[in-house]
Amino acid sequence: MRYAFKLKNGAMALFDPDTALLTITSPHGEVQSSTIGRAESRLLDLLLMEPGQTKSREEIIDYTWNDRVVASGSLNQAVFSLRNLLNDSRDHEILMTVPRRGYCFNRLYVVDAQTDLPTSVDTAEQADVPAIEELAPGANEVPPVPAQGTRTSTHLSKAQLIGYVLTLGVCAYTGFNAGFDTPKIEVSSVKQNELVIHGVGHSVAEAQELRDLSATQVQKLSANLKGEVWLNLFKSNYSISCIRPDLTTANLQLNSEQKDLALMIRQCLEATL
Amino acid sequence: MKAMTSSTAHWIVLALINAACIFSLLYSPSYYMENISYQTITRQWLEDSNQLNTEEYLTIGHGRLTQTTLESLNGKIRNATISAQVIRESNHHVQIKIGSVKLSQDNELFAIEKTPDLFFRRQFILQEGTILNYELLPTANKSSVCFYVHDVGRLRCMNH
Repeated sequence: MRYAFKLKNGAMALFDPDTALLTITSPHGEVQSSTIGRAESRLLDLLLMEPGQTKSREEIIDYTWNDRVVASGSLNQAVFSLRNLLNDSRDHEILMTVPRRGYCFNRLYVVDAQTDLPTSVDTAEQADVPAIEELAPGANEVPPVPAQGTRTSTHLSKAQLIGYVLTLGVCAYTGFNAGFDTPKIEVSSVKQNELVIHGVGHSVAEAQELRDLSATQVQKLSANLKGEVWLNLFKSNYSISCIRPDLTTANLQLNSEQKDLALMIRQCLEATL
Repeated sequence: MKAMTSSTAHWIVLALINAACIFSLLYSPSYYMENISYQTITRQWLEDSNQLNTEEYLTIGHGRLTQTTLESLNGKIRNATISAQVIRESNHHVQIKIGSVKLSQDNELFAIEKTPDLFFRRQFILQEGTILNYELLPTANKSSVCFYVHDVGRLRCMNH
């Protein structure tokens, strides 16, 4: 299992205990990988197993040196080295000393290794920070400074940012396709028995006028016409398109002064062209 | 936990927006059927009272529009095939760009000096690169399609 955690300078760290590989990614995206020493690796592994949980010096020594007898200074040295690696040598905010009890890894710096990591270190909610007691005998580190302020995860991860950009693209494409800028034609319809007349014009008034004109003229024919008729007037030319009851279609084009409109509608609907 | 909830919320919002967009893209009930050959007959009375009769065939699909017209006037016949690329499309608009035009003969069957308006409109349509805007009109049955070509004021109903 790999561990991911933040560093104070905005960098992100990824630690693989199996290979002792510590990868640090700076806020500018520079990646630096290094294999850390065995003692530092074991120490970091133990503390990261349960971040926020204090591990006693004995527990750490047992785990880190596998029951080998080592001097107390070895642990101090390992802690010192690890803090240097984590850029935590000044305030011990990440690898914290819990006076009289031992050490713990500040869990507020730990992030989920499976998720993409924020590129900057925010301040986190100050919770479950171990209580500071008196300095442990023999320990000569500066007491830990609790995390300052609050840390919120309002920053978008890189993956989310890409997701939003892609979504924006998808939405733009959808909008582009849904309603691209084309002239709009108006249709005004009326039903006369089994005949539906559609006036087609560039304005509603134009379409209605055409619809009413043709409806009036068709009424005068007193013929039982069936089907659907579309009419349009373009530069003094009528276009009549119709769908007949047998679902075949026909189209007529004529000058407005040439023929009687009602007769043309009838021809469109009934005559064999 | 709070960070994880926030992250999940972001992903849910993204998923919802994308789903809505993709749904609206895919579910756009069109007024015509793709790759179906529509046909119709047209009669046009010219200024000199001659009748120009045409049979027209139209297919739209796979991003292309093909229209073939067979026209006859006083026993003379001419055919034209227009291939166009569909540039943009919505459920009631189709914008095409004329890609190629094939004519059985260059000369029009009608007397162009008597019907100049028709001649000029045809010149416009028969030019490669011309962009035409089709507006589809809703019809009562699926087997027919009616449309208005804005650029030349042409109204047509076709069936398959």
